[in-house]
Amino acid sequence: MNFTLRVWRQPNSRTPGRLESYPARNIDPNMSFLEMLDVVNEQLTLENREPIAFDHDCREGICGMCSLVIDGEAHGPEERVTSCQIYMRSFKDGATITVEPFRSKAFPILKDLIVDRSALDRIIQSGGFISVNTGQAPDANALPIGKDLAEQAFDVAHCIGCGACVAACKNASAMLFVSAKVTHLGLLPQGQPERDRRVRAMVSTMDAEHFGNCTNQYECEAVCPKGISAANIARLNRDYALASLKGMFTKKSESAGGG
Amino acid sequence: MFKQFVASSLGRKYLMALTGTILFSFMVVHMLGNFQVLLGPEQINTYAHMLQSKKPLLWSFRLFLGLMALTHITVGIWLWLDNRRARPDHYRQERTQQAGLASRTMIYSGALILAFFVYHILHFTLRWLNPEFAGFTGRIPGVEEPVADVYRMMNQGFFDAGVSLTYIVAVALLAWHLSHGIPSLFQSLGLRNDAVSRFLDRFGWAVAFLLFLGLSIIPAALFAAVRGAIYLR
Repeated sequence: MNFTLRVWRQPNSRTPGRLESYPARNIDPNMSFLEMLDVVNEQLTLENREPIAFDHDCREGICGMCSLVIDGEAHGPEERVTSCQIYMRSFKDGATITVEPFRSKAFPILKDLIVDRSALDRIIQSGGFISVNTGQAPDANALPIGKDLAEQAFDVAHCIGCGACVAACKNASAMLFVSAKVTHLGLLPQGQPERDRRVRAMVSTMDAEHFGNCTNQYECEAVCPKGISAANIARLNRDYALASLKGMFTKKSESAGGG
Repeated sequence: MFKQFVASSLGRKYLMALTGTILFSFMVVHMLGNFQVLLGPEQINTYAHMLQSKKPLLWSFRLFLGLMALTHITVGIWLWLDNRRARPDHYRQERTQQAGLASRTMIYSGALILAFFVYHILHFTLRWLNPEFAGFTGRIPGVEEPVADVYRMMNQGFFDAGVSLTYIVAVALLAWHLSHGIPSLFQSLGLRNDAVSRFLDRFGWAVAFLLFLGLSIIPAALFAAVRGAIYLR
């Protein structure tokens, strides 16, 4: 198969970028999108030109590194997959394919298609610890958790933090990501002691990182490779409201360090 | 703590949802009240006199609603500006997955509704556009002095096809705004899950459509009735 790529090229975060065209020839339909980019980069290297920089790691859809907006869709035209799990058979032979980075003020472009997503890490960090006793591993059934609750928590624990929700959101909001992280621990008994503090801290960090606000359009859940539902954002809203309300009536202890 | 809560991204979403709910509730009451014009002059004029004779209550109500509208508008613009800043460089190619057109044009439909609101106040409340409305008086049973003839004012106001059409287009815009606003407020207040999300979307459209029907029937009916009466005569 043959394609024409329109790829975003940008040397660094300070220099403005632009779309440039490259031919991709003799591409096997069963190649992944990233493998196709590898082939193009091989050719560029042979021609002594700068290869296209893009993020990738596991290439099996679980690490959350790959981050391409393909033809205007975060993680490309297929549902519930990451960019690395897009195969060239999904495109028409001879098609022109536009490849752009995840665009958000919170994700500065480092080079070409690589963006800095450490803002998401800082949100996780601000979530802090959970109180688990040290010592021997607890007995398997010492802390019973209902099947349904365990599954719900697991559904959101699928979040790989790729940031596609931010990329697809009309407002570059990170609320699907934050709601997944807040819900994951908020549903489980182990997450209860710090639940209120956690949701308040994570929302406050999210705001400080210049992400946008949710306007309830659910573009995020449509592109999420892990199919995380935007209904979790409603749970985030609920949790934050209750935590803030409780916070207004509680005085912070002078001696509480770290948390 | 309270200030931080209100200024946070989520806090401002609650404000939008709560003020929106109050403004929507007022629209329902306003619609039900104005239905009385369809029941004849005595009915609507008695109702209007009842409202006008309770000045302190009327003004506290107006002040409260004004505050709600102001909050809704200010916070809405604040959020909109924030959201624009969150993506300074746009996508060269962008494909929308499921966001409806109404949800993407809230700031514009909102601005047009505000513009219509100003016109509506100048038209029927302050009567600057039609000063002759102030002279329309009539009598209702149980009241000595003449009262404002709201019935005649509305009939006169909607006699003009352009005016009637403006009102109908404006309430259509309001319904359009609400078709996203109603399902959205449940999400913002945390009252939505996967089981009810489809229902809420349809509920929003249904309520918005009913409000459009209810609000547009008044100018449409008055225009048709007055013109029809002249034609038949």
